[in-house]
Amino acid sequence: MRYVLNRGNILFAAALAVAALLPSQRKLDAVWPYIVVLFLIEAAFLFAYLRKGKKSTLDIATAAFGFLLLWDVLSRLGMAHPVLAPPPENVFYVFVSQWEDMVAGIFSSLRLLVLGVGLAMIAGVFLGLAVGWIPRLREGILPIANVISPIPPLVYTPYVVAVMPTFKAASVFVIFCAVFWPTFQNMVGQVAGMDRKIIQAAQVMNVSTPTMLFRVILPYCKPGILASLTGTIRAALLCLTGAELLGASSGLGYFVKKYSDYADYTKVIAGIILMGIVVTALVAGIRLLQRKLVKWENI
Amino acid sequence: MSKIDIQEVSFHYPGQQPHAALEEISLSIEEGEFLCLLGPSGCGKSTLLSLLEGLDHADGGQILLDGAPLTGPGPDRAVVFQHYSLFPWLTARKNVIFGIRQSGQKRSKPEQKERADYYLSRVGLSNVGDRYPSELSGGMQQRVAIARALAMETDVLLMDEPFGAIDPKLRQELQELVSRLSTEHHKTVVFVTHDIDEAILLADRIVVMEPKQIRAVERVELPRPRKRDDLVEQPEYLQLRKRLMSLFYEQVASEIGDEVVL
Repeated sequence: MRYVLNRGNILFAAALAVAALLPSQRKLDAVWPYIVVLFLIEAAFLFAYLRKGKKSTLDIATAAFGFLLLWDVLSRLGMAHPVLAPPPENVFYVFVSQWEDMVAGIFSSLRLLVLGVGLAMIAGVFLGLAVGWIPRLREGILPIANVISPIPPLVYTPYVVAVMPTFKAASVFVIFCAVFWPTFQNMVGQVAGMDRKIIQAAQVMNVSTPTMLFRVILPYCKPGILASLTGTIRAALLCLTGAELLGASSGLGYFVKKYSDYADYTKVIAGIILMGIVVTALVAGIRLLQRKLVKWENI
Repeated sequence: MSKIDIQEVSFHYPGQQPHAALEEISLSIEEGEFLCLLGPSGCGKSTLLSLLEGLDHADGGQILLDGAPLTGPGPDRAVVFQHYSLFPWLTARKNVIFGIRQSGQKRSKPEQKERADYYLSRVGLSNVGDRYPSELSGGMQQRVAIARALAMETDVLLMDEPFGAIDPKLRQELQELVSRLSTEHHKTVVFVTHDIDEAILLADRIVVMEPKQIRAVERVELPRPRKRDDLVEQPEYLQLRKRLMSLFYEQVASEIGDEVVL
């Protein structure tokens, strides 16, 4: 019974009833995308709740439906700000009317993101491996890294965008800086602080330096590298959208920026929601990757 | 010629005032011999073993292995540590295969797998090849480590208190396993322990150490295979144990100022 009659389902039904029956003071572009969203959330909620039956799932659904219901009711009764708080129906309709722009924006942003993060991870991991393993390099380079790395990339983003020949080069560079330093420092720390027992076990088996670096230390550090990737992706996305606000001609940040300039806050809110969805999907993808690549630890 | 010849070897721990861990130790170990280094902690027995492993370097004298001076770790010696030294990212079988590949044996991939499974079965772990170390108990991990050491097919096996962290019942099983396997595979074994009974059960010869020095060398003439339950009834065992006890505790007592221990 608790799977049918619960706060989540009751609020879902209420939100649905409001969307279908309550007359709106404001002009609505289309109601159906909003109703589709309600059903999608309900489907996800039921799937998770029936499988695991966790209280927290119910709480999340309650919060989501409660928020949408409040938003919809206020805007239908004409109690929300006409420009700054558009009705949810119109916001979700943007996903229908602007889908080509949005898809293009996602791909444009992701291409830069993958390029920047990929290059920075490769450079950070391999340089970190070498610097962490050789004490002389470590002692020379780490103090320098400690000075450069805390500077937030957002601070020099405007400068980089102005200096670099193209916007793409500039954003890849900014993402690279945002990802490289934490990855590099994390890697140096992991290598330097590695379990001596593992090192000794490898040493008495007479391993060569390449074997030590790539077949002992690198796999040892793999869980740590992947764990840091979630935070890294967030930082990279922050820098990318920051850069896009300054000088891009496409992308997720650009989408939001363009419509804020026109004070079209319906599309701005839709763009913000889209960004949330993209980040969530990326993080979920990394989790999946972790489970696939690190089978020997329970994550 | 002895298998291993330790000639007047000294070792000092580095530091502002280097202090001696070993002073001019000499010892010969014969081919196929099972030698136990016995002593309380801090007597230098583990230091001596780490010199044999090649992880540390003697700062006086030299160690000859098959007549050639020892300069570092080599594919001619396999080591089992007290701690579980398996690589957590490799399955039990892949851990053993890692050892096989490092030992320089020319084998195809299927042969490596076949050898790994053979040695896992030798330590009684035929069905855990695909499991990761985190899925195995401490005793099982240590058996995989022994399988890895055996699979390297070296003449010399160095063991540094390998059963120190294992519960007594399991320890007895593993002692019997090592005793049997080292005979069957004709290994020269150097085994560090602070457990007198373990030394008597395993060794052909017991070297009792005191700080920096060798105190005494005892030959163990008891017939093999030795079973702990049978040993306790033999007068030779009891005499030997008593001699070792007095050597061992005299030294401990002198260290803590002649107070009576036990």
